[in-house]
Amino acid sequence: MMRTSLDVAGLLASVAPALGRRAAAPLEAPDRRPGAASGAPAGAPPAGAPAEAWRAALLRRALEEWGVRCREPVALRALEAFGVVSARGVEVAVAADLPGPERALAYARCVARLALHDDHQFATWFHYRPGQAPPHLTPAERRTGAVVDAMARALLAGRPEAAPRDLLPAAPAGSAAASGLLGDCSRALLIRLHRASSALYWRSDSYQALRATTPMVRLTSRVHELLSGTGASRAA
Amino acid sequence: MAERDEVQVRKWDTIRAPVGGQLRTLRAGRSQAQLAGDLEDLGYHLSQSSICRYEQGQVDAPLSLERLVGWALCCEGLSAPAFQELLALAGFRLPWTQPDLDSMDQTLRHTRTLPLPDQVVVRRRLLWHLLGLEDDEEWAQ
Repeated sequence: MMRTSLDVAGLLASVAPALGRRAAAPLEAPDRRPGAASGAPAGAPPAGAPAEAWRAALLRRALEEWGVRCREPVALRALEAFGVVSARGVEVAVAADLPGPERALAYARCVARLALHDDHQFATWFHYRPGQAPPHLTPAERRTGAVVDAMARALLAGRPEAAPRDLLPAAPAGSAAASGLLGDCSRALLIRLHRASSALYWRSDSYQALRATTPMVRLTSRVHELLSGTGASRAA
Repeated sequence: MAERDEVQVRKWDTIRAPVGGQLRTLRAGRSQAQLAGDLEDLGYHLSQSSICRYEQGQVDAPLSLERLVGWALCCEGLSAPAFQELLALAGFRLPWTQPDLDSMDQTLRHTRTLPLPDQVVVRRRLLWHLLGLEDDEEWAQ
């Protein structure tokens, strides 16, 4: 049986730097010329392009380059987006009538959802427009939605590292390869810290916000480097 | 009918009564009118009377795989034993596991809570995934 495998780590690595540069760039007046939002920019952010349209186009193009079929149906009323992962492939559908900021966020949420996908043979997900979520959603579904949203906002800011490493697709030098200051002890500690961070991130909106702050991202990166030995090896 | 293969005709004559029974089982408590409407939304042209005639084994033309899958999808019965029985009767096979089909039915039940336009979009995508078809015309790009 064919399995669906998608290199979400590669996808994140391909878009995060450009999104980060765009987030760091000074805000510019949105370009309101007719058709200005339709261009799909390449590489660096083009001057004058509306930021949100550019982000949405970048994310859509990256998804498509990674083999995800992206569609924008006009008929969606309650759904902002939905996705299907099956042996036939991965596709996401984003409502065609979303304005720029919501459209960029919708694509980012799709990327975040794919990052959390646990490689089941078949899966679907639904992202609802504000106020349209059905009342029967379970607490777990609501929590997943909150985590997806937090990860999406971190991605749009070009800082996927603002989410716990355990929630992101496995990077080449993960915690399993840790060989820091105290060898096995470092590795065990690192794994526990990552698990605790992921668990907290999953349960607490406050921790999601805290985890996304620059000092916290810096702190967690330093701790990871210290315990995994990646900082030492980089220095060497 | 004249140009249809004799073998196909004989096979359909043999199975159309049990197929009709399984189709009726698959429809469960759903009305024929509702099923006809759902099938219409998916792009099938099956009237309420056609549904009735299929269920009674009175249709001469064999039921295609596409119609069979569409019928099961509209009834949220892809994982139902009746659908497996239908596939076996007709000699069709779908490359999906039972957990996949369970998951699809669950998704289909979930979509019933959505507005009709959303339901139709999601159902069409699921149908296309099930059958491995592409249709870009329905999308605004």
